[in-house]
Amino acid sequence: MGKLWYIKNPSKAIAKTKTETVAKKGRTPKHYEHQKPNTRKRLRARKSNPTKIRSSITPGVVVILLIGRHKGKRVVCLKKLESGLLLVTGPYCLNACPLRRVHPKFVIATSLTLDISGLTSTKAIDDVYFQRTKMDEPKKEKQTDLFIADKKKFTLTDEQKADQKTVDKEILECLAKRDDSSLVKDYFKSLFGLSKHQYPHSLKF
Amino acid sequence: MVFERYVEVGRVALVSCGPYKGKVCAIIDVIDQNRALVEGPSTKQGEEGVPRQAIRFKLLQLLPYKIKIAHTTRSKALKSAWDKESISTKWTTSIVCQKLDARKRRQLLTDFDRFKLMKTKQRRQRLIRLCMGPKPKDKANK
Repeated sequence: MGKLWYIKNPSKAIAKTKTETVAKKGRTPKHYEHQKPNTRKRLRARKSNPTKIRSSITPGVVVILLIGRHKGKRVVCLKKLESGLLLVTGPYCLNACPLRRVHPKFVIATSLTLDISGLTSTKAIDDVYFQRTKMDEPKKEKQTDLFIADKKKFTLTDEQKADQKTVDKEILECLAKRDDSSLVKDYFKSLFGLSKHQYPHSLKF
Repeated sequence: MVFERYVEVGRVALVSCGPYKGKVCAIIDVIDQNRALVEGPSTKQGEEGVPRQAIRFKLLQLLPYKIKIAHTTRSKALKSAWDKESISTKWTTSIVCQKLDARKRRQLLTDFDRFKLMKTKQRRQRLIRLCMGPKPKDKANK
């Protein structure tokens, strides 16, 4: 007897197989009793697990960068990208940190949060925005241009510069609503550092 | 060296370790060489006092205050004696208490608070320097 548990309507199926194994004249049966009938494999429901970032990091939180060329700088966390990285900016006009992606592990979240709920310019920025176009020339061409030391350097497009300006402007507008805005601006301009008798595990951020 | 603060019934002490660290209590009885029975009403509104318990002498720091109670008095009698001597106000206005509070506040400063503190200190120093005037030139170095 064939395996019945994956046949939807066993009675019908049995009836079918029985009729089909009885070959019609000139025709081979659709399937034989010893063969498994064709059942669609049910794909397991694929779950998408977005990366979890610790609760102290939310859009608007001022964050201290710990690695990279901007280490020590206090920057604004704008949003969490799909790749799990954080989108962050100085703002550029205050501490020269541009729109940048940063790994949440290498960041200290402070308890200072800016209200950036009104920000619209960051909605279009995602991981694709940061993908660089390949600057390297293909190997074939390199051999002919051996003596020309004209290497393409990465430069910002005008569009990216304009984006930075709009984001900065919006953040400064959000800052201006605060009573201590001038202090916060100075806070962004300064760098974080540990001094004597300051231990990160006992400091409150 | 003459001792001024003695372990005695009614001596007010500061608890230096454990869950009641920083709180003030009175010695109600001496249990043995190492332990005292203490109890302390709350000194600040909203903060609990030290419940009646045995504490080692090593964890107590004797204070220059004393209340007049009989040994193993009830909590009510203790509280009335405590309030009579106004130990709570004496303690909260003392320099030791203020320093401990300042230390606690410093611990709870956030990064932005520390930045603001640094800026305020700088401003204060600048004002002091202005008031002091320019440094007089050393006559010896002239």
